[in-house]
Formats: sequence, C-alpha cells, structure tokens
Amino acid sequence: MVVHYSPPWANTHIIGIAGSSGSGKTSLAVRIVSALNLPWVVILSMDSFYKSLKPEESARAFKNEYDFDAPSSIDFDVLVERLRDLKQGRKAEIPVYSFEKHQRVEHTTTIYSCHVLILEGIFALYDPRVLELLDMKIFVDTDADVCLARRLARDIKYRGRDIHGAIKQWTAFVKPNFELYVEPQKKNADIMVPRGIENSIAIDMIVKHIQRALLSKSDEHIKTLRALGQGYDADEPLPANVKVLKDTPQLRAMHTILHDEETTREDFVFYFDRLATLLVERGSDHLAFKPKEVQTPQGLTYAGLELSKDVSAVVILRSGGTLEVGLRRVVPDARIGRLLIQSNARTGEPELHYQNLPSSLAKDSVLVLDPQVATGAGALMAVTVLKDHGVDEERIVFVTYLAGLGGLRRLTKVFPKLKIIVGKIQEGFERRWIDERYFGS
Amino acid sequence: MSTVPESPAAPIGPKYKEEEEKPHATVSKPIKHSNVHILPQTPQLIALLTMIRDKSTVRGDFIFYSNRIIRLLVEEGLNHLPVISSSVTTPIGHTYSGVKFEGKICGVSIMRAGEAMEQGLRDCCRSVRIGKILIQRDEETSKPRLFYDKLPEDIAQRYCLLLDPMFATGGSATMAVEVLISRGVPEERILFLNLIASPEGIRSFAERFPKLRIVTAFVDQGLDEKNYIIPGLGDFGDRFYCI
Repeated sequence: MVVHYSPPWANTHIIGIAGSSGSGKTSLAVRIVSALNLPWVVILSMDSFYKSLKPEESARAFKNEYDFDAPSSIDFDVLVERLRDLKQGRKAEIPVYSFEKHQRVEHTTTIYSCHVLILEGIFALYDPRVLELLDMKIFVDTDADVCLARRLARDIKYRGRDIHGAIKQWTAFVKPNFELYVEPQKKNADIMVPRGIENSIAIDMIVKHIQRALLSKSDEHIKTLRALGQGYDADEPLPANVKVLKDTPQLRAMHTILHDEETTREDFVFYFDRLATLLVERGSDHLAFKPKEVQTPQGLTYAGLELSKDVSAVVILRSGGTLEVGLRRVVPDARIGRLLIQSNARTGEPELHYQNLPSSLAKDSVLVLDPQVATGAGALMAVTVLKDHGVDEERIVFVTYLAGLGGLRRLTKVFPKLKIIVGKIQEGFERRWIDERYFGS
Repeated sequence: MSTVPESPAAPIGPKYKEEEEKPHATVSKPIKHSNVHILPQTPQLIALLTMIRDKSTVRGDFIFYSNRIIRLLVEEGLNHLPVISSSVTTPIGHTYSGVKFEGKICGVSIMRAGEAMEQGLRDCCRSVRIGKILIQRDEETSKPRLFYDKLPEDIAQRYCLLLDPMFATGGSATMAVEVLISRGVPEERILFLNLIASPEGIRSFAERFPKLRIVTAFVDQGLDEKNYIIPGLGDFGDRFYCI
C-alpha cells in the first residue's frame, strides 16, 4: 500500500494584500516578511502577471495612454493557475514582466516550497477564483492624497515618467479605476489596514496570525510524519529495493573504525571515503543501463552494457557532503544539486532552507546522498522535492551509510519505487554524528 | 577460434526488476573451483568492463574505469583476510561490537601491468608496502624468466595481494607465486587479484595452488592461437601506460 506524504508547503497559506496604487501594499508585505524572518515566506507581486502588450498597446503605454490600472490588464488565468499549483505544494514558474518593453521576458522565476505566500497587487482581492484560494484578505486603506504623492515620486524616480505623464496617468486611469474596481474590493477583505505600514498594531496582529498558521502547519507536519512511522510490524522484512551492503569482515572492520570515538579524524575521513566509494559503486548498480556492443583491440565483439542516462547527484546538506568524495571517485562528472534540510532544534521537524538543483535533473538518473537516515523525515522531504522537479521515483537511488528501520519503512511505504542503498542498519534512534566527525565541526 | 565455446549471455540487473526489463550482456564464465572468486556480475561492473574493452576508449577513461574495477577487486580481496573481535565506544556513547583487521599485508605487483593496480590498492590501504617482481619471456626458451624482484623483508609474516590485471596462460603468475613461496609466504596467505582471466589458465592455476585464493572480475571466453585472452581488452600495460 502506498502512503501519501504531504510536505509542510502543501496547502500553502496565501495572504492577499490589495489597495490603491501608492497605498503601501509592497511595504506592508515586506514589513510582514521581515517581522516573521523565515525563509519560507515569499512575496508574489501581481505586477508579474501583467499581460504582454501588442505593438499598438505598447505605443500607447509609452505615451502614458494605456490603462494599467484596470483588471483587464492582468492575466488572471495564469495567476490562478500558479496560485493553485502553489496551494498544492507544486513548483510554480512565475512570469517576469519588463516595464521597459511592456512584455513578458523569456525567463521565469520559480517559487517552490513556501509555507506562506503573500500576494500583493491592486487587484489581489478582485477575482473570485483568487479569493477562493486566499486564507487571509487584507485591504490597505490609505488616503488618496498620500497615494498620489507616493505614486508621483515613484513614477518619476523609478519608472522614467515625467510629472505631466504621471499626473495624466493618475487622472485618466488610476483615480477612476480606484473608484470603479479597487475600492469595491474592500467588501472582500477580512482586515482593513488604515495608514499602511505606519499602522504597527495592525501589522503586529497580522504577523501573530501568520505565526499561528505556521505553527499549526508544523504541528500537522509532525503528526503526519509520526503517523507514517506507525503500524508496521517490527519483523516485517525490508522490501527488495532496499539494499544493505553485504556484511563482510572488511566492512565490519570499517564500521568498527568509523564507530570508534578514539579513531583520529584523519583515519575517520580515510575510511569514510573508502566506504562512501563502495556505497556509490553499489548505488550505481541500480541506475538505468542498456546493451552496448564494443570492439576489443583484438577486433572481437563484446556484448556489454552502458549507462542509458547521465548521472546527477543531489547532496542533502550538511551531512550529505561527507559522501561527495565517494561520488567523485565513481562519477567524477556528475552534475550536483544541493538541498539544505535542517531539523528544527525544538520540534525535530525537517525544514527546507535552500535548494539549488541542476536543470538536467528531470532527465537524468539521480543519486541522493545523505549518510544518516533516522526517522526518514529529511529523506522524505528530499525525495518529494525531486519528484516535484520532475524526477521519476524509479530513477532515484538514495545512498546512505547508517539507516534506522523506522526511517527505511517510512521511505519505502511512501516511495515504493525508490531504491535505497544502506551501509549498515542502525538499531534505535541516533542523532546525526557522521558529519560532525567528518568535518570536525 | 571457432573451437572456443561462446561465453554465456544473461539478463543483468537487480532482483526487483522483471527479467524482460533487464538488459542482456555477456557475463563471466562460471568456474567451479572454490578458491576462485568472481565479482558479482552487476550491471555497473559489466558497464565498466565494456568501457575498458572498447578499443575506442581513450587512455584517460581507460585508466579511470580500470581503476574503479581494481578498487572493487581489492575490496573483495581484503574480505578474505582474517579479523578479530573488537568492541568500541561510539561518539554518542553507545557500544559497538565490531572487528578489527588482524595481520599485516603487502602488495606484490607483477611488472609492468600489475603496477597499474597499485593505486587502487592504495585507495583502500593507505600506506601498504608494495613489492615488485619482473618476469619476462625468455627469448631462447620462450618460457617466463625471473629478471628482478624487490620484496618487503618481512614478507613471510604478511598476507600478500599479488597484482596482475590479465591472466592468460598464467605463466608469470605461477612463477611469481613460486617466488613468494620460496621467500616463506605460505600459499594460503596469497591472494591473487586480476581483472580478466582465461578459463583454462585460471582452472589449472587454481588446481596447482589449491590454498591460494583468486579474485577476478571476469572469466573470458578463452585464448587465441597467440595466447591472448579473447575477446579481452588488448595489452593492458600498453593501454594503461602508452597508447
């Protein structure tokens, strides 16, 4: 039976901030993010979803005669699609809009794994499909004269408009549209914030609300993780796709050296590298191969094999770095991606702090490196990230040195096609110590 | 050449895969002698052998891929050395009942191709002592002749890992073993590490030295009229050092 694991960024908490142009939406969003001070709170500006202009519209835009302040200028269809992806915990490619060209540019930016998303824009509370996805709706209510003053300053300073052009925009589009479309959004709001970022009491309230939401997400995540580890028979054999290195005298001697607290660091690194090489060699047996015939120098044919895909590796930091020497001895030219997953010191919940993955990942065979799997929580998260980046489960080989049975069961129940190479099965729970020994810190 | 029986072809891959999912390739011939250990014929090993057999593989790649096989041979070879129980305390305060290496070892390479295996040995045993033996074919008698040897003085007290990548008729390997035995190394303390062997060579060698252990990556189809292993990989020393 396949069990589902949902990462803490599935069911993203989305907050919409609307308000007039110049009302201070962006500043408010930035203030909230800095007050929370967490890597998984992300601001999404609706400016990214301006429609690309046709040549004729673009010409009007340069003459300040195009209406950017009407809902029709926003590509709500794409916005809704991206928000739905993020709400589901999937990766979303966000378009990049160039104000110089009035066009979407070629490249996109990626948002992935945020727990809280702040959507800010004059029409953040406009489309009913967006409203449905929002967990909190904020309207920033700033006096019109303040808005105009800010808007003029910004248009002239940053957007290259002159004072006449800027005023023309305001009277022709911004003001009428505010009355027509922006202001009516107030009735959709949960919270009205008068005076924008000067309103520290409102900001404090919003921040506390988000913190509560984050806490309950984290509780849920921990509960999910616990539940995944329960209900398995302790004697149940491990599935065939978990491969434990053959228990040989030499291997046991290496385990002994590595486990001995009196082993010098020099010896530890030497033997760990040697064992890591063996682990990666074993892991390579589970990559995809295809037949290949070659001619030997004697002019004879040998029917052999070759790798059918390039090999990429993903290192789970910091511990995974200990297996990199082994990796390079076996696949010196592997493209390497990195994920920083740390356990929260208080709750033990794994948290994804950083990711940098090669774009080729989706078509390669992938080795995932992490020397210790205890509860399997970090590993679950890592494999989830890879699958969300388009890597098929069966192309992933997870390479680890010490693994607990609980963690292995969790991993294989959630990802039955994943291959796992283990150096040694660990009885009971052990905190991470390999990286401390290897790196000496 | 048609007299040499074909090598077996087999689907290769891990057990959890369906037979039809596994790619087919030629695998090592089986050898019944209990002192001959052939590395498990995994897809990865076959792919490595494919690389070094391919005549179009450039020297840099040849060195890299043969080195990987050699490391696997050394790891397997070392498993045949004895260990004794040893209990240690782990960094987090647990007790681990393990084992430790017993006895000293040394490598002995048969020049020049055997020297190519020294790096792989050092990758696993950092400061291992290494002796050398030079054996060449005598032009007059066309028999192997010992030209030079330099071995650790206490070699009689050590386990010897004898290194020679290609095992054709086994003439020089036999002579090297005789040299080691003459220096007091008991036969059962000799491990012969080798990449590709001929079935006839390895059988007679295994019978001649029943207590010596042989670890090889692949037993090939046979020998041609010039006593070259076929399909083989050409001259290992030339491909490693020169071509």
